[in-house]
Amino acid sequence: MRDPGNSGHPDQSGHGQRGSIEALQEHVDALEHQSKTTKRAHQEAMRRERQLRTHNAVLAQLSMNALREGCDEHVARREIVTAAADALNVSRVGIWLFGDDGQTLRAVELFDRQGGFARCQTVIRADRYPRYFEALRENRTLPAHDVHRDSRTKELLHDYLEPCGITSMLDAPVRIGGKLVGVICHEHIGPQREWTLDEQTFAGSMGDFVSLSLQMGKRNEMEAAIKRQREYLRQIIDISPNLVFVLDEETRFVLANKALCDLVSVPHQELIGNSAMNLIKDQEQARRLRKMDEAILRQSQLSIDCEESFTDRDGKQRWFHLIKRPITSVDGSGKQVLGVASDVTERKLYQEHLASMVRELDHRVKNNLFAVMIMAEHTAMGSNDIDEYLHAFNGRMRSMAIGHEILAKTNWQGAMLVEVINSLIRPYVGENLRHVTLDGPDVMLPARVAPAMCMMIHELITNAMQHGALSLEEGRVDVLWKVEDQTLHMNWIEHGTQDVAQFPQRGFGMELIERTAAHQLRGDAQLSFEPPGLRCELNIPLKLPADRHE
Amino acid sequence: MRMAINAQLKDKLKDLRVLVVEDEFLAAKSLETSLRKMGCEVVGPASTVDEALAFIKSRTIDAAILDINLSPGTSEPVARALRYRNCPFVFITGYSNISVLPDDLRGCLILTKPTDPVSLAAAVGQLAEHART
Repeated sequence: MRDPGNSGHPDQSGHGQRGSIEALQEHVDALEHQSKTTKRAHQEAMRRERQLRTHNAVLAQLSMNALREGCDEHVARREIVTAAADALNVSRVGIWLFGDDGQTLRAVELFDRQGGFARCQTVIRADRYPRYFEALRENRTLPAHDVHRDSRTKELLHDYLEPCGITSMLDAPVRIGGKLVGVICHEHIGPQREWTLDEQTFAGSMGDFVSLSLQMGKRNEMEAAIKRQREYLRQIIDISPNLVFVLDEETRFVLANKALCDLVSVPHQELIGNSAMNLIKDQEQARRLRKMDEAILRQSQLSIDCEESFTDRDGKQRWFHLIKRPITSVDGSGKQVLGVASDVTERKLYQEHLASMVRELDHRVKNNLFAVMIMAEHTAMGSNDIDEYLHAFNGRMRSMAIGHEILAKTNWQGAMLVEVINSLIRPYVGENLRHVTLDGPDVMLPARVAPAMCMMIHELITNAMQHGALSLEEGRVDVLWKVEDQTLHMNWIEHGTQDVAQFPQRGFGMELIERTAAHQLRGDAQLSFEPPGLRCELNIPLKLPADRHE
Repeated sequence: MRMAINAQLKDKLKDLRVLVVEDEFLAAKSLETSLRKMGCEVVGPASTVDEALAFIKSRTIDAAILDINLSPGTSEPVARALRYRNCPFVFITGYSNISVLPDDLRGCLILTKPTDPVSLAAAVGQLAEHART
């Protein structure tokens, strides 16, 4: 290839050579300049790439650290300001947030690369710095290369920038849901600084990070509040003696309170997720309950109110008043069955008890009337005239009434023997009991035995009053008793009667004693009429095998 | 006590051997008295299931009157023994609620206490008819 500059005549070459050297020199200079420029551009590109890499690394780091699950909001903000200060190589980075009024900015985080974290009491009021705030609202970043000249930052000079020695500033607004909530300020101290586009982009990202950390903080706060509320509600359902539960569409427990866990004695964590049907042994009942739940889930029935009985862990039958209603699941995905059950076993038992009491009362009233009829009939058969009849009949009625009265006092649990004898004998001898000796331990006569004993003792008393020891001035009766092998042994021994001829015919009274003792009370009565008087030996079992409770 | 018992009924009741199972003295006494007045012969009274079964084994019985509730227990085993022997019987109870009877004994004749003599005579007459056919 021929150099076009070297063509021409030799004489021309002296002059021409000088000219071409100069041209060459110029050319070389131009090349050198171009090379330098290229090199600078290259260096600049390299620097820019390094910076971008740094920025990206910082952003990646922040997104992993400051925005990690459950990170404290305060910690996140500190990570943001320190990372921003290093990445942008600025003296100070601060995060300012609006107060509740939305008008005043306060520094919540202030990091100085020299002095570390600091506090700042300065308050920036929006109405005092309108241009600054307008710029914040309208831009993604606010690069002020020279804070003294920049119209947006000039307003802040006196109150804030000059006292802090700030020369250049790169602010980025913090927005949540499009609304300005604060600002992150990157503050440069020293010779003025031109903010590159990359730096501006990075600063804008810092604003986003602060926004995300604020939202995360809010979310953490809400989660904590939800947790507290959950615990609060849990305490309320756990204190209830009623069973509270929620079943999902497969009748699995999604909620169960303490009363339920205790009743079935299954720990809470085991109960949750398990089918309620596993707890029900009766297949028929399980099917019935399952049908109810399905009706609730389909919402073909909006409420179920019923009584169900279950066998508890001790094998005892318990009755529950059960209310079921549909409830929307916590995640809102569908319907579940909310159930509340209260134990009404006591009430049921009480109702049954009351019904049996009424039956028993009916039975007793009829029995008593029946007894009155028979007493009247037989007293009449043994009486010579109406006065004798009335006297004897009233006495027998009184003995029945006394027996009833004593038992009523103990709610038909039983009657003390000594009280029975005293109550029966007092109407005849008054308080003067010198003719009568009572001696024996405390004995409780069962309700089954007491009324019959009343009638028997009454017959002994009236017999003694009419024909025996109590009809005589010097007569005496000893009533002695003891209990052996759950059998009452009672001796009625009269003294003072010598005239055997006075002893009566064996009448209705004596028959009553013997047959009541033998047939009704499953014991026996031995009566003998020999001087010095009537002896009656009663042997009455107080407890029968399989005693029927009346 | 005068009772309105017609001659035909009186004839049926004459010498009828009636087992009385009743553990309460007054009730037993009353039944005995009434039955004797009707011309019946009283067997017993028995106050327990064992006593009643012993009477059934050892004596000839045409009919029986059974108090349902014996203390303790009930006269159901006696009723079954009588039914096995084709001997007619009537239950007598103070409870107006007769659901206390087990299924196999439902439908048996029942008198409630207090029993008036006319109803008793009618019931025993019914038993007598059954006994002699």
